[in-house]
Amino acid sequence: MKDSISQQMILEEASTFADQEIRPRAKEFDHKGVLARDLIEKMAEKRYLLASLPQRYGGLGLDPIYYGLFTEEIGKACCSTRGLITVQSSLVGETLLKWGADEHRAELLPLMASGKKIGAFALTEPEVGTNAQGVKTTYVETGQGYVLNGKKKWASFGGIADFFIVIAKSKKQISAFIVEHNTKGVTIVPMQGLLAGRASHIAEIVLDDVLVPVSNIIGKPGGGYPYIVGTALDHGRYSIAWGGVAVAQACINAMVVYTRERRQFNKRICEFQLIQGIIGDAVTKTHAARALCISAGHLRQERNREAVVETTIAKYFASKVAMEVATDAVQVHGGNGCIDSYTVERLFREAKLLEIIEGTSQIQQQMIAGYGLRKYFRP
Amino acid sequence: MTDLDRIREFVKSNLTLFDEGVSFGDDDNIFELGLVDSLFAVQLVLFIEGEFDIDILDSELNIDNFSSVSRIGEFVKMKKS
Repeated sequence: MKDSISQQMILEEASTFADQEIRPRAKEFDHKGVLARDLIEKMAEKRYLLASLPQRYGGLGLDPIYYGLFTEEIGKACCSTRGLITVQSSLVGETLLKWGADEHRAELLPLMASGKKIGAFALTEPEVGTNAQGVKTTYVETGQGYVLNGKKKWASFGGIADFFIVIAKSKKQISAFIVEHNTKGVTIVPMQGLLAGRASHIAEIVLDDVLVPVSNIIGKPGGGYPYIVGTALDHGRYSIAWGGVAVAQACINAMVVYTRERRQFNKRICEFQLIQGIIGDAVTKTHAARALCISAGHLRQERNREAVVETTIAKYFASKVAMEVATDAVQVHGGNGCIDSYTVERLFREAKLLEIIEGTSQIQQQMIAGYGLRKYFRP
Repeated sequence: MTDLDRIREFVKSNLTLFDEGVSFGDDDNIFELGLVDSLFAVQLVLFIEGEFDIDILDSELNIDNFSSVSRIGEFVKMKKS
């Protein structure tokens, strides 16, 4: 892990990069439904794709807090670009780092860092969302390897991925496999008409008698759930929590500029107390969300067992705050908030997604309630 | 406190059932009995690695190693030996 001075420099550079290379193109990415390959290459050159992973694999070696702050910088500029880092670093990279075999790590991680291979996490299915344990994609062990059949849905960056981590079940157990995109029997279907994440190359993955070698299983058969899925979602939630802070902060930035310039009744609208009430609440809630993320980041750094639930709390709260602040930001912009000439229109759509991905708010509430009911019970 | 006591205490403090009378044996499969939630597995990994100062390797990612208090105890004993 790098020292804090080096990490601070990376953060400042990332902020400039976001201002110059990402933010000016975010609207174009959203419209075209494409995250430009040249941007991915520039990010790879800067080692941003595996920002949280060790330098020996081509990552930046950011500690959890700096990785969070880095995620915020990228996320303020463009949610889909932040999504690429969420998937490469948090979901796929961290999962391979923790549970991949030496060969998986040595082969795939440097290629992911250099942008030569994009990974995607294929868990959700047309009929299986929150109840991840109920996956219907199957695998059967044969003399030549494992044969997979089924359909995955909502795989972010699945449309441009070179490989997937696929979760599938046998008669007895659930396992995780690395599946190359060009394996016979794999069909990738990009998803259209999305509310948000339009440049995240979200796709369906159809697996029709797909044969993968025995060496492509991650961990032991049956280790897929709950350890691999749990690890991926835990890292994913941490990234999404910071993604929520990013959306909320971007909305504040937009509101501040707009309300200081927009005039009604011969006054700038920031001078109206009701507008100030909205901005006061937005700043307070966003600072609170960031504080929860930083607290979870400290616990993750210490590898404290409370880190898992505190990450869940941060994800639940930050995504909720992002939605609330984005709703207020549109309100403050009035009609101008309802058209894509203003950033808040896109941020409003993106905020909603954060309350759903990596576990809905409702499942987070249930997990947090379980924690509270245990921790604060004093008979 | 023995290693087994520490493991038992950890599992007990993470039960999803809010029934003060609930009990489980060292050999009971805590996952199959639905005693823990989906966050538990990752917490368990952090607990084992932190509490006993060991690294769980990908080759040891076998659900049987962590299915009950006694199996976790055997795994910890094997890793420490």
